[in-house]
This record gives sequence, structure tokens and C-alpha cells, in this order.
Amino acid sequence: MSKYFEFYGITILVLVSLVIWTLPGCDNTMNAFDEEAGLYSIYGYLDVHEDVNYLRVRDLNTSPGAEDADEIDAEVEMVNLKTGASEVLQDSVVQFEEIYTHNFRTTLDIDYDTPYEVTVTRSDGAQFAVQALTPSRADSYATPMNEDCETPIELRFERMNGGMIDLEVGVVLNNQTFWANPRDEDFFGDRGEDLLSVTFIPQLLLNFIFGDESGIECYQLESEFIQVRYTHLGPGFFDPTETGGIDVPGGFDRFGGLYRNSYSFPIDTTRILL
Amino acid sequence: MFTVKFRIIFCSLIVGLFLKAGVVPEIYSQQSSVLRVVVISDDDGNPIIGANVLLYEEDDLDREEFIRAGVTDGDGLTEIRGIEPGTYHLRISSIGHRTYDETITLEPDEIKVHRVVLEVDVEEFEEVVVEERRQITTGEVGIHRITDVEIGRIPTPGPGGDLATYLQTLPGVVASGDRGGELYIRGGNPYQNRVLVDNLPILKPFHVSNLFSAFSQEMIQSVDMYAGGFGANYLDATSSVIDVRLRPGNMRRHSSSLAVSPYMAALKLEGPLERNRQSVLISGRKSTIERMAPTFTGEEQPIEFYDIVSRYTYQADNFNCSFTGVRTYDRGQINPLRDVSLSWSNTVLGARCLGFDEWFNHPVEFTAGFTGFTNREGTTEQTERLSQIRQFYYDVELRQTIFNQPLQYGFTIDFHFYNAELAERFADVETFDKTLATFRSYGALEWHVNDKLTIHPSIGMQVLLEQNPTFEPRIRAAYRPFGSDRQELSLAAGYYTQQFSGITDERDAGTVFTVWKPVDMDDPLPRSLHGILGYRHQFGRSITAHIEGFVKQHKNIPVSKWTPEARLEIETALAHGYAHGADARIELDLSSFYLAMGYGWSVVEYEAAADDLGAWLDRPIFQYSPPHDQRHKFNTILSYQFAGFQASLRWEYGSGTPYTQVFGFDMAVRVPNEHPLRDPGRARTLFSEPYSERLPVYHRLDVSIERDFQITSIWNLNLEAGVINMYDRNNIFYFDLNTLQRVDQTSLFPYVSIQTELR
Repeated sequence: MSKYFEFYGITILVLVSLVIWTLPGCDNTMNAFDEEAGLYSIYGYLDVHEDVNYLRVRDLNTSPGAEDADEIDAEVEMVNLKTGASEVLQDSVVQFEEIYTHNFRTTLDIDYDTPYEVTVTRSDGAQFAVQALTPSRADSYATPMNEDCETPIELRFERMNGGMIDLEVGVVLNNQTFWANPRDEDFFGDRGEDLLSVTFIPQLLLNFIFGDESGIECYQLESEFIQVRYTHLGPGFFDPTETGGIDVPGGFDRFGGLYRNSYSFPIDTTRILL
Repeated sequence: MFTVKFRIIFCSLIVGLFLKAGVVPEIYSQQSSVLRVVVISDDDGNPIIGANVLLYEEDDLDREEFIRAGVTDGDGLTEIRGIEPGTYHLRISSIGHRTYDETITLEPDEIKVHRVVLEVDVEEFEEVVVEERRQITTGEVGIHRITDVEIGRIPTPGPGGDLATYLQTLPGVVASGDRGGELYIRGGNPYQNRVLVDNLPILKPFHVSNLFSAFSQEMIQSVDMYAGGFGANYLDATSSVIDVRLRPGNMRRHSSSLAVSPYMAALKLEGPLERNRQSVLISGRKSTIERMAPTFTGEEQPIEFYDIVSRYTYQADNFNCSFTGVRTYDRGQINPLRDVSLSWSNTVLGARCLGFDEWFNHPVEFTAGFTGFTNREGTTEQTERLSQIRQFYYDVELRQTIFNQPLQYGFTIDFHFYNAELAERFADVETFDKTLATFRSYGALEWHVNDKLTIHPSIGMQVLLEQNPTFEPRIRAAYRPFGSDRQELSLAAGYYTQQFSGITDERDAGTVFTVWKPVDMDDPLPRSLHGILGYRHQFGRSITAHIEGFVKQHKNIPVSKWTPEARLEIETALAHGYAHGADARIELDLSSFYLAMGYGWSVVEYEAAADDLGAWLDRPIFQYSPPHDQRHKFNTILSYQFAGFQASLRWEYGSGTPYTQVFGFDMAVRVPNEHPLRDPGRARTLFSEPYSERLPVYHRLDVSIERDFQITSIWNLNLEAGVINMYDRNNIFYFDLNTLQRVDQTSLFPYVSIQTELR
């Protein structure tokens, strides 16, 4: 009985071995890029105040040193979703040392508070589409004006319609404008869906910009005007990596609408002698 | 909650009880006798493992039915207890030795220590092999018992075989390519394996080339590899145990050997310091592949390693002692194209003594030693990160008899010193310097229920001053349905914990730097549950088949967070792992022909809260297959001896392991502060869903042929020629996300090794 098992065991083992060793070669390739999920990245913004805007489009499946990086397999179209107006964008290649970038140019009118969609299409039909809503035209003013440097001043932005204000306040000294960002701790205010209110005291602004030990006071300023400049970003204009917002399938975008604005308002810079 | 004071008292009490129970002689009321037999080989004066010691009634002249039996352990010792006083016939047999017969008389209450020297007889080999195997294999589920002969069958481009190469032929053992020295056993991570050399822990004895470890074929006496389900005598490991026993040096003759191959040069010295009493064995190996590889393969192999292994043995009539020293060093780049240099070193120094004097009611074993491990990562110019462990320990193993069943128990006191300097890459692990004291104890019963069923229940306990004690019940059982161990159904199950974790950057296969970190006071311990069911069947005299199914559940495994954008800093989260699968292995072992085929199927899955893991997919629980989830593995080993030659062949097939694809390579522009026309952007890699794709299958054929040439009566020459990766398969190692390049394993590598030995 045992010899019976032994004979057949040996035969089977040898046959199975021969079959396995003569297996045909298996596919040995691998694709490092997830070509179905990752298509394009889009970087750029639609500035309401500009006649021409540029959008950087990158094929995510191209490594930086690729020989054909000066070409891109992409057709880019932008549509104004409110009016239906559309445009196929033209590529303009800009080279930074060894790196080719593809920046698509649009002359479509950019309106306030309007949704736009950009669609990038690969030759095999795969698409990545992103949308941006331009900001509304916000009302902005400072109050009170012409008061002394110890009087709190409020900067108000109203009818923001969900957008975000990137604000800077500046003063002029020695023919140079020095800027401060009101996100810093010396500013206080109120922020809502439709409103941004920032309050500051001019003398404290000087202390913040130049340091408490500088001793610079309002009367030393070369201009009695406080400068205000801001960028009003449309709703949802942020870096998706911070919140995990990559589109699958599709790609990555940092795309939105904005406009930039500035104004100034007077204060009383007369020296106060106690 | 245990207070610190209470724990110290508790530990002291247990230590005291152990000492009292084990060393102080007991008074037996039944007047039964004990026979301890130490079996020595006449060839080299060293103990014989697996010798059958059979006791017959004196009037059983034909030696038809033995009344008691034992099998010698790694020290050549076996103990037969509860023998009625009287006169018996003692028969001892072992492979390649002349059978020994003697009449012995045991007095009431006598503990007799009997030392027997077996004469060498090559003709006896085939006669006793079956009986010998039959006696030593019970309850083998989850265990691979490995001998130097088996290791020698695997083609290895060094002089002789190596444990590392052999282990990779086993189903369920997955290596991380051919560099890095990492072994994953049945779903467990490398840091979850416990490796012991002569009972002394060694943390990473595998060299940077996965073909080699610190344990060459000629240094090994035996290796027990527990792929899971091990008993409570092995604590502080949650996946597997590799228990290596070094060979004692020859007690009769001096010998020395020198060997060279393209991979390494090796020197071995051994011999008696005092004939039949003291011997020493020293082996040193140093890699040469860094210089030789460009000539043999046309490729750079920027790796370097060495190992020095030594053992001093003292063999008295009533005790054995061994002093073991191991030093290893590895340095190299896993990806030659990246300036990431890794290095690690092991230092092990310790002693182990076994006392079996008549004064001891049971044999007593002591182990004490030091283990050090350092691993570094940095550029080729300087070290940037470092993690170290130094460990002092003292271990006592005792035996006792309860209800006529043998009970083994022991305790260990272990001091760990952890140190890490991480240079900010590990975001949530700060540089630390920590000392921990651990007390461990266990008890294991060997309960022979009847002729067919044997049960080994055991329980272990680990006590850290900062943690609640753990209690780890385990069980192993073997059932022989026909009373013969030609067929055996066996199972193993248990609960396992570990007091430390190993943290690696899993996102980057180009580094194996590991932070060895003790578990913080408020953190959960890594723990696991194992279950294994196996069946072994021996067909005839030469074919053996094994089949096993297993499950392992791991809790609290530190894994790297995968954020969409590749970051230098490593953050970790705790994941739970689940592994299950089955192994099948069939062996044909004739005197000159050996064929083994093994197939392993396994599934390894991890899961973690998506928020913890940083995964960017919108699911509350993220499940994935870790990079060591190799679903299918097939191995064939063939060895044939003819006309003084030994030809060996190994073919391995492995299905692809998971890897993470690149979602895209991007140039990020910080709009609106940057403008597309004016700013190039910042290069960055975006990861796709972690481990969502699998690498191509892996297969490789290695062949070798060797022959001994007896030049003179004292000079032997061994020549070996072989080829690794004979059909030059481009097996992928991994895809480097940093360089966006495919890194392949070693291509076709022909070699010739020469070993000359004087004895």
C-alpha cells in the first residue's frame, strides 16, 4: 500500500513540477500612474477686473522630465453658466528652466457673482471639470474718517455673498508703504456670511507695524491717508489638500474667481501735546 | 488598577515561589524513579538531537513493545519519570549511529543520570530514519523544524546555505524584495517576530541582502520556526517566533575553513579546548558583493554586511553551559539611485546553562544576557535618524510534575533601554530615551489524555510597572486518529501581546528604518489572536504532506498615514489587521533525491478609521491590503545527489503585492498669490488610494551544483557553482515614488564558491 502511494506520489510531484516550470512568462509591466483617476490639475483664477485670464493646466500622468512635456493632450473649454457663453481656450507654453507649463488663455467676460465651468478633455474622452463662482461686488467703507489716531476705525465689507476678503491696511513712511494684515491679533472685528467688519486704532496699527519700541506716532506719517487694499475671493476658493478635496476621478484644482480693489481714507495726524 | 508597589511585591512573590518549587528537591511518596539520559555522538562529542530512548521490560527479549520512551532535546537530554523501581533494558537509536543496548537497574526514589555515547555507523542511517521521525513529530501545527541539511538544499551564492534563503521558501513567509532584511510571516510585521539564538533575543539578524542572515548553514544545529500559535514559553511577540540553536563546536577535533564567493568571504574555526569537555566555534563572514557585483552582473550593489557568530560550550556530567556571542552589521542603499543610506547592527552576548544533576528534582535552565540593536537612516554622508534598544535579561526555566503530567514553567526579568533620535521626520514620535523593566512568567502543561490525544495548555503573564499585567492563555493539541503519528490532526490557538511597536515609513519601500518604541502608558498594547488547524499525513516511508489553515487577528498596529500629498513627515495611526489563509506542503525524501513543493494562500487586510489614517477617500472606515499581502506563493525545491555531486534547484512564484499608485505629478501654484504666467509652481507628488494596485507577479529560478573533493586525509575542498535568477527575470522590487522610477530585484547572478577545510 505504501509503495503504491510512493510511486504515484513521485510521479505526480515530478509532473506538477514540470508543468509549473514551463509556465509561460507573465506580464511584468506596471503602471505607476493612476491614469483613470488622476487626469489634470488646474491652477488659476478669473479676475473680474481683467480682460484676459490664464489657467495653468497640467497632465498629472506626465513626469516632470518627460520628453513630450511641451505638448499636452488637453482641450480646455470655459462656459459662463449664467449666460451660456463659452470659449475654447488657447494654450500658451511658458518654460521655466527645464519645465514646460501650459497656460490656457481666456478672453471671456468675467462678471460678478457668476458661475463658470472649465472642462478639460483628454483625447480619449476622459474629462475633468471644475467650477468657480466669482465674488459679488461688495460695498466697502471706513468709518469714522478724519478722527485722531486714538479713535477706533471700522472697515466694513457688506453684501459679500459668502466670499472671503483678504485685507491689508497700510501707512506711508519714508516714501514707502508698510502693510499689516488684519488677521493679526491687534485687530478685532466681526465676520459673517455677508459681512466683514474689522476695527483697529491707528496708533496701535503703527505699533504693530513698526514695533512698540520704535516710538513712531501718527504725526510722523508722510500721508494723512490710511491705505486699504483687498482681494475679494469667490465662495469656495481654497486649497483642497487642506480639507481632502481631490476629485476622484478627475484631478486637483485651485481655481476660483476674484477681484482686487483698494482705497484710502483720511485721518487726523495732528500731533497731540498733553 | 495595580499600584507600582503592589506589582513589585507581586513579582517578587512569584519569583520566590518559582525558585522554591524548582530548585529545592521534592519528596516523592510513590518511590518511583527517574531516568535522565544524555546522548552524545562519538563523531564529534556533541549531544544528539532526536535520539530515541526506549525502555523495555527486562524479559522482553525481542524488544517488541517498549514500556516508556523519550526523545532527546537540543541538549541531547531526555527524562523519563515515574518508572517503577526495577531492572530494564535501555535501547537508544539515532540516525547514522549504531544502536545502543544496555541493562539498567533503578532503585526506589532514585534519580539516575545516564550518559551514553553512540558510535557512528553510516549503514544504520536508512534503518532508523522512519522510527526517528515518528517519535519526534507530534503537535507540529504552525511549526517548521529546520535542520542544516534542509538549509543546504537551497541554492545560495555564498559558501553553504543560509537560514534567510531557506525561510523564504516556506509558504506564508513574505520577503520585502531581495534587499532590506524584512520578513513578514503569515500577515505579521517584522517587528512582531521574535528571533532567538540559543535562547537570547536578537532583533534583526537578517542581512541587507535578503539572501543572508547571521545564521549560516554550518553554524546551525536546529531552527524551530513558529508561524503562529506558539506556546506561552514565548512571550512578547504577536506574530511568530524563530528559535535558532547554534551548533556546539567539535569536542574531538580541530578544524578550520576558508571560503570565498562573489558575495562574501568566510572563515570558520572550531575545536576542543579540552577534549569532550570544552569546545569553541567561531564563524565570521564579510560581504564582497559591493566590489564584485559590477563584474558579475554589470549593476551596482551598494550594500555591505558582516557577521561574527561564536559559541563556547562546556559539557559536564551533570550540566551543560554555552556562551554565545553574535555581532552583525549591515549598511546599504535599497535604491541605488537615492541618497538614502541605511545601517543596522546587532550585538548579542549571553550564557545558557542546563543543570540535570541528581540533586535537582527536575532539570533547570538559566539564561542571562545582553542584546543590543541600532538602526540608522541618513544620507551616505551622515546619520539623520537613529533608534536603539539595549536589553538585559535573566531567564529561568523549570519543570515539575502535576498529576503525572509534565509541567514546564519559567520567569524572565527584562530591562529595556530605548533611545531614538528622529530629526523631526516622525511627526508624532519625538526623540525619546526610556527605560522599562518587565517581568514575564509562564506555565505550560503537557497533558497526554490518551494514546491518541495530547494537549498542551499554557498561560503567560507580562507585567510592566506602567501597564496592567497581561494574561495570555494558549493551547496546542494533537490528535492521532489511528494511534500512529503517521496521521496527525493538530490545532493551536492563543492570545498574544507585545510591549513595544516598530514604526516604519510604509509609504516608502526604499527605507526599512524602524523606530522601536515602547507602548506608552495610556496607549493600548499591540495584541493578537491566533488560530491554526493542521493535518499531516505520511505516505509510505518517504512522502509527507502537510496542510494548515490559519487566522490571525492583530490589534493596534502602528501604520503610516497616507495624505494625498506626499509629505516628508511620518504620522502614524493605529490599525487593526486580519490575516487568514492556508498552506500546503508535500515532501518526497529519498536517500539521494529530495523534492518539496509548497503552496501558500493568504489574505491580509488592515482597517483603520479614515480620520485617523488621513486617507482622503470619503469613508468612515478605510480598509486596505498592506504591502506584504501576497495572496499566492508557490515554491519548489529539488535536490539530487549523484556521483558525489549535489545538484539543487529552487523555483519560486509569488503573486504581486499591493502598492500605491501616483495620482499625479503636479506643479502646485499658490494662486491667487502666485500667477500661472509668472511662477513655475512647486513640484509635488499626489498619492492615489493607498495600496489599490498590485505589482506584477514574481518568479525566479535558482540552481546550483556542488561537490566535495577530498584532497588529503585532512584537507577537503568544496566547489559550488550556481546561478541566481537563472532566466534573468526582471522582478520588480518596488516603484520609488520619490524618484518615480521602477526598482528591480537582482538580475541574473552567476557565482562560484570555493571552500577549503582543514581538519
